[in-house]
Amino acid sequence: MGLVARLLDTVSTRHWILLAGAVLLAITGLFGGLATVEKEPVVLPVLPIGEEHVGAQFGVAVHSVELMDVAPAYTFEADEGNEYLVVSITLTNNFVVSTTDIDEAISLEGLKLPKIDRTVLLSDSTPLPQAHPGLPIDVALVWQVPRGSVADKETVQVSIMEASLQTEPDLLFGDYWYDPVPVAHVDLTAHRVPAVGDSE
Amino acid sequence: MTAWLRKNRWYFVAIAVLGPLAVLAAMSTDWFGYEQRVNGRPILVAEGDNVDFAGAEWSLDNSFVVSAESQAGRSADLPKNTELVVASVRINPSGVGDVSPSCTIHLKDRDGQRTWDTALGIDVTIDEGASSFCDSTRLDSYLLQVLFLVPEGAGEGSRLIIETAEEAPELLSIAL
Amino acid sequence: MIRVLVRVVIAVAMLVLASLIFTLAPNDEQTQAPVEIPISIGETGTGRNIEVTVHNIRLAEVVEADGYTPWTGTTPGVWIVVDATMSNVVNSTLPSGFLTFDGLTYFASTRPDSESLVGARLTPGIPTTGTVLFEVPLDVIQTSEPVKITFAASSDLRLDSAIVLSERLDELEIEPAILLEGPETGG
Repeated sequence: MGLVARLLDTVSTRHWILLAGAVLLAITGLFGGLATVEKEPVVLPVLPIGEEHVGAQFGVAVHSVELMDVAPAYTFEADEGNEYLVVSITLTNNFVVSTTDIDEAISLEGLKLPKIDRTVLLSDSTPLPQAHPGLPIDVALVWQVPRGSVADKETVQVSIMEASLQTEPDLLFGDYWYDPVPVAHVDLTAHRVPAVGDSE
Repeated sequence: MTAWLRKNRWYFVAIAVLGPLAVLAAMSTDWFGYEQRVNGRPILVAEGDNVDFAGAEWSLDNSFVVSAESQAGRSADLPKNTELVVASVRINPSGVGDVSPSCTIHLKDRDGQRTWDTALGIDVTIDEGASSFCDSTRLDSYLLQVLFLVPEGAGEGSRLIIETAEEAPELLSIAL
Repeated sequence: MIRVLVRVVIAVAMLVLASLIFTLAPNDEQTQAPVEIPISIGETGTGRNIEVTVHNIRLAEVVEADGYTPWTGTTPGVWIVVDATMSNVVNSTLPSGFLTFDGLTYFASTRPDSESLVGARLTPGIPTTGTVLFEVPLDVIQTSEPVKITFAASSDLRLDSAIVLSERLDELEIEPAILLEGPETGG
């Protein structure tokens, strides 16, 4: 006790403040300093159509972007003035548990899309398909867009997204993926597909 | 060591007695809330009774059991070893507030151990003008008729449980 | 001096004990874990609100159903077809099923929709017999490691019963196609 008291006495208060400041600068220096720095724009790889990008959560290969009046798994037409934008992909769940949360695997960032209308398994039109670990599925992601907002033969950039994993030892909610960011792009030509029964 | 223990023995006795009591006291308030959430506060309705509940008068009009073996049961295609409980309740909205109650309906067995939901897809015609649910649009007296598919024998002594959001945790427990 | 030392030692010991308790105390996943009831094929397991008897496990390349809307299920992997009878015990729920293998969890397939035994609510005391499908990659059925199939009264397994079955599937033949019979109530 006496030792500590004597130590405190030898160094004046002013010196203690300077010492604390020096320690603070040293620690922030370790983390890159106090001045903010502009992040350099990252250039993402552009993948050819159909090539798979393997991520920790999903493996994704983008095949097509289509515009249609009647989309897979539904026989209703889109709301007045709208049409369906359908992106077809092959998705493989690389995580350890089945999930139906696949609609953020890709993003069409150039377009201001509303909430996704539905996801559909292409082989049997099952809505809200499950992606099981290690099993690739061909799915369509469907959005309703104002007619003409995407033109036939227009180039559309589809971004493949990757989310981060948060692990929780909680039985009900458990691990979850959050904050998806783009990691690759695929450029496709949007195609207008005539509806079944169209005379053209 | 033992002298210290002996000197303070009453404090130890106090901890041993008061400790568990404190825990029990803290949990007791939770227990009653839990008990009510699970069982509700039933208003028991016996045959012939007329009860005021949720803005209407309720009385049991009729109830019977259709066995799977019976002719009616066979023509309704009831599965083997089951029986169909049919219950009719007369609901007379009091007209206060211009709204007739809506409700959830279940069947509980005699011991209260098992609970059934109303049966769907059973080929049995209900009385003309009767409703299979609490119709809040009906302001005049009407008949509520519900069906439950239960294991053979479970209909005996069963009770119809009627709950409304407004009256919770109180609920009607109608003897069939 | 000795008295100071004794107090320091006791203080340190209490700190060590506290940190041990902190690290060893069970987390939510452990305290809320389900109660597992193991069964073998042909046996009946009864939990708090679910009773399950598994009759048979088969493998198929293609599964079909000819109910209200005919369905054909193809897969890049293989279908694990589980015939079972289930019922609730105390109240009606929509049951859940999943398969675990090598740290991976496969939920029962929703593709057969209402033709699957886990696609519709069960009834207390009245058994429903039908089939549960799991869609898995081929390597799940190729080793001698058994898979573990779990059935529960609902998808929330916390503190509730789970009926579990462990079976190795590598000795089963993969049938080219299996026709599903929709769930049947009663018995």
